[in-house]
Amino acid sequence: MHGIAFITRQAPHGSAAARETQDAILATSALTEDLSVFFIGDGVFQLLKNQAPKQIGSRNFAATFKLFDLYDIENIYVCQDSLLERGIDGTQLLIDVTCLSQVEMNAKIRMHAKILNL
Amino acid sequence: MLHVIKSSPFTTRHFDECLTYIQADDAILFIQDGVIATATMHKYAMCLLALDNSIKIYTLSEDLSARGLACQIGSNVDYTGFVGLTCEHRQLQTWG
Repeated sequence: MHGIAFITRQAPHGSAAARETQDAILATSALTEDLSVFFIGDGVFQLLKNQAPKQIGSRNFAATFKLFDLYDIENIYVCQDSLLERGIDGTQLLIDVTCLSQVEMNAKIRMHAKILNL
Repeated sequence: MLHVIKSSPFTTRHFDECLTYIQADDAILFIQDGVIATATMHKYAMCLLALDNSIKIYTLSEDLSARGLACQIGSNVDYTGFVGLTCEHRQLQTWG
């Protein structure tokens, strides 16, 4: 059994939810390396390259995903079905991630003792 | 009439409900997370392509570039254009 699964399902910048989830992941990484991050649904938009949110008064927190490696957050999964449904391909993403089908994502999430769906 | 949509079509029903109420010569403006509707070619974008030609589709450019997206359907407007659209249309409704 793995430790903690963070599931992030919100598009960035429309609300603070996606950024606050990222903060929670970073804070948790200070306590344990046994955590995984799952991008599902509109959450996949958080990983798009070339975001320029300053002009709408939002912070470019996508750049911080590049630090996940430094924080030893290595188990990062993206739902391939969510990408396909939204017409996004894996090359448009900012960081290296593991793309899994919805069925595989579900199985992977169920391997965690604590699940935070945000 | 100008219809304003500000949430993702994948997250809420506002997009679907708006499209059932839209009529010829109306316009739709996508802002905030709503810009996802015109940014890539998914099933909701196909619904927009199927609309009557008299229905104009606009997307707020600041919200697109903020998200690393580009408009694939209709045209871009900036904040000034947004104000222009609200003046141009006698009625406006925001779907959420």
